[in-house]
Formats: sequence, structure tokens, C-alpha cells
Amino acid sequence: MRIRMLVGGLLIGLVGTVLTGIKFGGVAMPLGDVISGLLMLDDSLAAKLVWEYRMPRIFVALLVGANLAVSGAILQGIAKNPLVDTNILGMNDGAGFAAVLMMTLLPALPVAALPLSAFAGAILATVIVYALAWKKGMRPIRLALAGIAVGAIFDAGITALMIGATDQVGAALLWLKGSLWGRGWEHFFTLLPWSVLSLLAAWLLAEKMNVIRLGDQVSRGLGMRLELARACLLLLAVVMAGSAVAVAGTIGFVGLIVPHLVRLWVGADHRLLLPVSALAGGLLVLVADTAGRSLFAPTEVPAGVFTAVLGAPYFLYLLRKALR
Amino acid sequence: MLFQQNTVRVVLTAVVGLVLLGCAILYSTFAGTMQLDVKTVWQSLWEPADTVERAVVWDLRLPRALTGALVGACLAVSGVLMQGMTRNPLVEPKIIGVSAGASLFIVVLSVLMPDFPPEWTPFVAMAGAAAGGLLVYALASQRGVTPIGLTLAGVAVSLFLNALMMGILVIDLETAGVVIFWLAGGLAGRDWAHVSMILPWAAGGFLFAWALAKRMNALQLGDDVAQGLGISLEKTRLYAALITIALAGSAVAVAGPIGFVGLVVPHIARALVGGDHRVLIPVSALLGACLLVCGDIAARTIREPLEWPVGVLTAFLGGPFFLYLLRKEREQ
Repeated sequence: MRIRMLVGGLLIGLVGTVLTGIKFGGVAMPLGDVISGLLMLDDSLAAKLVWEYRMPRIFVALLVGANLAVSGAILQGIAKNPLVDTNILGMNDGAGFAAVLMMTLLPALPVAALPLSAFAGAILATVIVYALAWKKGMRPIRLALAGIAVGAIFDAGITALMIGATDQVGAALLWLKGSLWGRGWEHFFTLLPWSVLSLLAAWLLAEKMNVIRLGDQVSRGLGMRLELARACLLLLAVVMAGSAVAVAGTIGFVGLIVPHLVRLWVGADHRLLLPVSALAGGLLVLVADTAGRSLFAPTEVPAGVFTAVLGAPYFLYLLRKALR
Repeated sequence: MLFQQNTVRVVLTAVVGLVLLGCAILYSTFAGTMQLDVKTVWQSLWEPADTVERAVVWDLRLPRALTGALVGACLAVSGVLMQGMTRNPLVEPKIIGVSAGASLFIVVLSVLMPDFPPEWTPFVAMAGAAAGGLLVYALASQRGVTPIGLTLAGVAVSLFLNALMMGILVIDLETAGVVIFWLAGGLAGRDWAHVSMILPWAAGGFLFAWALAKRMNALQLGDDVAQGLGISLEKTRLYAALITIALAGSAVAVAGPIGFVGLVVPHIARALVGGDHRVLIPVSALLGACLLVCGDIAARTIREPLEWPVGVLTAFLGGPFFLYLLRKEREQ
């Protein structure tokens, strides 16, 4: 009952935010225009505005949020570590570095090539962080510290790359802070296949994640090939985070906050946790983006700024619990 | 006592450090987009004449090198004090939230009052540094401060303050263009005004830090021993914190949040001359100055005529060093 109410509430919130997201922006639209634009009743400016600018951006926000939240849920599950998310592990900075590297070295490549280089960067960062933090097992806090240091190095790399590329600095900066400004259908269709496939894969692996949660010995006893399962899940998390960063830049802390809050509501069964996290993550990024482009219009505050302002205090709260 | 091994090492380190610093400052007046020869530099240093060369050397390059030296020294000494008073090898101004606090306050000031007098900057930065540091300490201090808890709390507070700052900057894009590059931590365009802005704080900070050296030594022996020696722990920590904030705050006010100098230099200095703060503090100041002047020369010559903020170079250097310390600490 409680879960149905939660999911129902999330869906209502989603529809409401989508409508709000269409209504507000650089120009606020009257509700009548929103509806007629949505239904494409005529060839009006409203229809153009809705379908060419605001809808694709809303869909991109939903996919990005879902990817980040599920990626965080997977990482927290396999690391059995509440402090982990893609941002803390340095994945976002690694993906951002690889993407900026590609943008500055090969500016002619199409948008669709960005996710691939972002994956490469995210994988590289993850491997480095794990290798550095691993020694006879893994301690959550060490992992977080190593991730932060590796992230700082990649971040410096991003700044170094941008110094030469004066033309792209403004755009790259907004992008890096996690902005959905100017995202269109081409970004949506770049992200869609990656999202759908990996969300599906995550859901299929949910059962395995429930077993992993029971502990290493139990899962081995149940006949699971633990290291293989962990590696697959890690790769999945990297793919999801990398594709999200490639399209929307480094929107931090979504993968940290959402799985925690959802776990409080639906419990730790991953078959529920993963889809509800996807929903809640999409909603969070959409809210952040809608707020960012309407609160201070005509200026846009990147969605990543909102999620960081929300997420960093939450990280501190989790940290205090972990230190006790 | 005179020819003890450590004395020889200290003297050697001091001499090599001074020579290195002198050479680095001198070299930074030669190097750059306009390359000058020895004779021109020498003449423009000593003979008043209205030439372009003199302007480049005397008004651009020399004050920039001196600012770099002072900023490096400030960051290094504040790192020594922080590591000493928390007995934590992983802390430094940028990691612990002090730089982020100072930056946020400066950004808020420049958005609210674009025409504020520049002499205010150090005070505002120090207020911000104190706020950031206090926040981190308050968050980490329940049930005892562990090195790793302090570090993680510092990182999270820095992320939070930086996000607030980005939010403010995005709303005021005109200021943002200028501030973004300042935030990367750099010395481009620093002139005599900046030298005179940081000099009193640096000089005062070093003197007080050095006066505190004996107490800092006692603190290293553990709380019980230090108290047994009749040293008030609270007072010592309070003084050290105040000096740290003055040093780090004025450095950020002048050059932006340059990271990892305060982390790396004290470790190198300790390896060279040992842990006695009476020696450690001046040697760290010297090495910090060397590091930043050399780093700045590299930052502006690697990709001429483009300039890297020197903070990028120190992050490349300091990030791996932080990881090394992390690994080492676990093995103990």
C-alpha cells in the first residue's frame, strides 16, 4: 500500500513537473498554449516551442536522472557502502575529462561519439580509484578519499584543456556544471538506447544484487560467481554514469541521495529499489532543471548546482553516521 | 652541537632553498612571451628609464614572482600548522574547506559590491576562511576528530560551498567571466598592489607561527604529554587556527584557491629537516615559495602564449601525493 502510494505520488509529481517544465522557462506560456501546443492542435509558435525546445529537454532530464540514480544504487549495492556515488568515485570527472579531451582535440566528431569517450573516461577513473584503494579488501572511507583525489586530478586536467580552447570555454563550463541548456532530440536519441538497455539489464540483475547484499559467503554458498557478477554490475554502473555525463555534464549527488531516500521508503529489495530510484532520479533532475531555468530567468542556473547544494549536506549527514 | 648531522642538513637545505628561490625569481623576470637577455633585465632593474623592457620586468614580472613567493610561503606554513594541530597528514587549506570559504565570501562580496576597495579583500577572505574551517571542524568533531573524518568533512563542505558559489556566479554572469579564472588559482596580472596586500599578513603570520613553534612541538608528543609540560591545548590550537586562517585567507585573497601546496611542502620539509617546528616552519616557507615561483614559471611557459593557472599544476602534483599518503597511512 505504502509503496503504491509512493509510486503513485512520484508519477503525479512527474506529470505535474513536466507540465510546469513546459509552462515555464525563458518565456512563461499560458496554460491554454501549453495544452494546445502539446496536442499540436495547430502550427503555432507554442507547438514549436513545446515540441522542439522544451519536450526534448524534459525527456533528456528524465533519462539522465534515472541513469544517475540507478547507477548510484548499483554502486552502493556492490560496494555495500553508503557514501559511494558516481561523483565521489571520480567517475564524473573522468568522463568529463575524456569528453572535453575529445571536444578540444576532435571538434568535428558528432554528438553521438561523446558517450563512447565519456565511458572510456569513467572506466579509466573507476579502475584507477579501485586499484589505489584496494588492498586486502576495501574500506568504504578509503574508497571515497581515493575517489576524491583522482577526481581532483581529472578536474585539473579539464581546466588545463580548456585554457587553450577559448571558443568553447563558456559552453564547456556550463556543460561541466551539469546543465541541460540547449539539449534537443539528438541528445535524447543518443542517450535513449544506452539508458533503455542498461536499465533493463539492471532490472534483470536485481535478483543477483539482492543475493550480494546477503554477504560474500552466502552468495558464494548459493552458487554465485561473485567476482563476475560484481564486475558486470560495475560496468553497468559506469555505462549509465558515462552516458549521462556525456549528455548533461557532471550532475552530482543524484546517485547518492536518491537511492538512500528510496531505500527508506521501499526497503532494500532491488527489484523495487531500482525502478523506483529511476523514477525518483528522473523527477529530481527534472525539478532541478525546471527550477534552474525559471527561478532566475532569463539567467539559467545549471541543474548540477541545485543537486550539489542539496547533496553535499546529505553526504555530510551520511558521513557522520558512518563515522560513529 | 654545531656539527651534528641534522644541523648540517638544515643549513644545507636553507642555503640550497635560498639559492633556488633567488634563481627562480630572477629567471621568472627573463622568461615569458617577451624573452629578455641578462643585460636588459639587469639594466631595467637598477637604472630608471622609461622603456618597455623596464615596464615588463619591474611592473609585471618582478611583482608577480614576489606575490607567488609570498603566496607559496603562506600556504605552506598554514599547511604545517594545520597538520601539526590536527596531527593529520592529509589536511591543507583547500582540502579542509578553508579556501572554499574564503572564495565564497570574496565572490559574494564582488557580486554584492562590485566596487569594494581592494584592501578589504584579505579581511573578507579571512572571515570566509574562518567560517569554512569552523563548519568543517564542527561537523567532524563529534566523538573525536579522526584524520579521515576531518578530511572527508572538509571535502564535502568544499563541494557544498563551491556549489553555492557556482549558483551565485551563474546568476551574475558578468562577474563570472572574471572570477572563473581566478578560482582556478593563478598569478596572472599580479602587481605591486598585491605584494603590499599580502606582505603584512605573511610577515605577521610567519612571526607568530615561529613564536608558536615550541608549543607546536609539544603538541606532537600527544595531548597528555603537552598538558604535563604545562601547555594549554586549547590556547595553542586557537592561536594556530587564527594564524592558519590569516595566512590561508590572505593567500586566497591574492591568488585564488591554489590547492595542494600546503599538503605537499610540509611533508617534503619534514623529510629534509625533521619535525622540529622551529626549523620546519621557516624551511616550509622557503620551499613553498620556491614551489610556487617555479610552478608559475612552468604554468606560463609550457603553452606560450597561453597561460595555465598555477593551481592546475599544483593539483597534478598534489593529487597523486595525496593518494600516496593515503596508501602509506593505511599500511601503518
